[in-house]
Amino acid sequence: MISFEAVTIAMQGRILVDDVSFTVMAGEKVVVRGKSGSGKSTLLKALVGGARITQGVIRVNGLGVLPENIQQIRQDLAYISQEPGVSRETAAEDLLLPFSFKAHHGQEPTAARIEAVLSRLLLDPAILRQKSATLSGGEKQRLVIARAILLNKRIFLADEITSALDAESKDAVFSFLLETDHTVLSISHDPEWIDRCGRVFIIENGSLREEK
Amino acid sequence: MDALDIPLARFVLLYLLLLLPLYLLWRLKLGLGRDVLVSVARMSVQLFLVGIYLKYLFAVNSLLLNLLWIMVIMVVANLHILKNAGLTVGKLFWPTLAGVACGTLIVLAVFLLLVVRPTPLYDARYLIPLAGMLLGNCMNGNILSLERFYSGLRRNEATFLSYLLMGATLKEALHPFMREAIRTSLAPTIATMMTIGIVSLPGMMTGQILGGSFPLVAIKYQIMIMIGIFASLVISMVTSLYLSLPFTFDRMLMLRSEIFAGKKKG
Repeated sequence: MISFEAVTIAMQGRILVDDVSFTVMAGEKVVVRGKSGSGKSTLLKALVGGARITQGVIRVNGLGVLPENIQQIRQDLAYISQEPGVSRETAAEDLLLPFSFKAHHGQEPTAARIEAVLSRLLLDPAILRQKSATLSGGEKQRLVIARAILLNKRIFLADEITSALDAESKDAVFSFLLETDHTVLSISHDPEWIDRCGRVFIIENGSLREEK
Repeated sequence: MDALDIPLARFVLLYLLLLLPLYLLWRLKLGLGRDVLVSVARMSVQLFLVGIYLKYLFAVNSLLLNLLWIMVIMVVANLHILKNAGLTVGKLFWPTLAGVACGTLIVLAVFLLLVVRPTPLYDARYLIPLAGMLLGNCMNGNILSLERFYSGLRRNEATFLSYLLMGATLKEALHPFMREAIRTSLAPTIATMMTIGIVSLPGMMTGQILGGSFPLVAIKYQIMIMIGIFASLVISMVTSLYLSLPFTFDRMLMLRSEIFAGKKKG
């Protein structure tokens, strides 16, 4: 569960998010829409500890987004952006990158698990041999989602993810994010995505209100 | 055997040599004329002043004065590093100064106490030029590594954050950025060591040969200085980068924007 409790975020004297309160229950699919510069990306950034909260509290599964909790909170969150970060030589290296970190040593997934996750997202396992730089935008995004599934992430933060997707990728991403029991907090302009999300918020000049 | 002195009249000819490049720059309308004249004037005045000062320093040959001189040039080098790396002096002065000091003083101690062993050990004739060579190279390497590291992190904040979200510790998340910064900064020194003696004769060695040293002695000094430069570069870069981290990341492990001098991130 995610909750924003009277959250205000100001940077360099400008209020980006103004006294925002809302709750996303476990398994809910929520989208926030708004013009560029309206503060919607700042909401997601604050959730992962990337923007300083001026007032109020953000909680993830009951834990306040505070320095003492941030590592535990980050373990639950997956952040999928418009241009997902794949930075290694091959797709396999990118997919398994987290398992090179101390926190996940000894937790490497089996080949069968990897194959199952990739096919869930309509990705051919042969893609793992490809250079990361040659993957399409949609393939990169699905690879990042596959990585999050392998890490058992339960909360997905999706930042304008549909804009770079082809039809096949869109189907795979939509069906995974919207038809499973994961919690999804997204920002998007895509009418189809907005239509399929359970709750829609609009943010204007940092103020948030629920649309449906 | 001493180097031939250059009489003042012939020394002036050197400045006439600048007329041709200045003419070419003027024809190409590069607008560099003023910068060239100012830099040549500054270089000349600075070197003459330092020449006068070194003459005094060598004559007095005092441990205290030598150490004071090294401290002053380390502080000046450090300020130059931070300014050129685009970082704020207020936040990072001490960690980067510590890096510069570690790199320079460790190597200098090995040179003077173990390898060259002049009498006295703090002999200005050895201490001052060796410290200057090491610091000059340390400065350029640190500008590159700090600028690459922090600007790389700033440009790729999303990638850095994605590492943290994948469970990386701060050290693990910074590793690719640090590797890139150090590799880039060491590349010129490694390339120089690859070609030295084949493509170019280094300035210090040329100076020693012109000053009357035997080529083999000059070569030994040159090898010593190349190894010293490499060691001091690595020591100072790694120390500066690691010591700066507590001042550049907040408690959420995010990069503080206030460490960057000048324009704020847009």
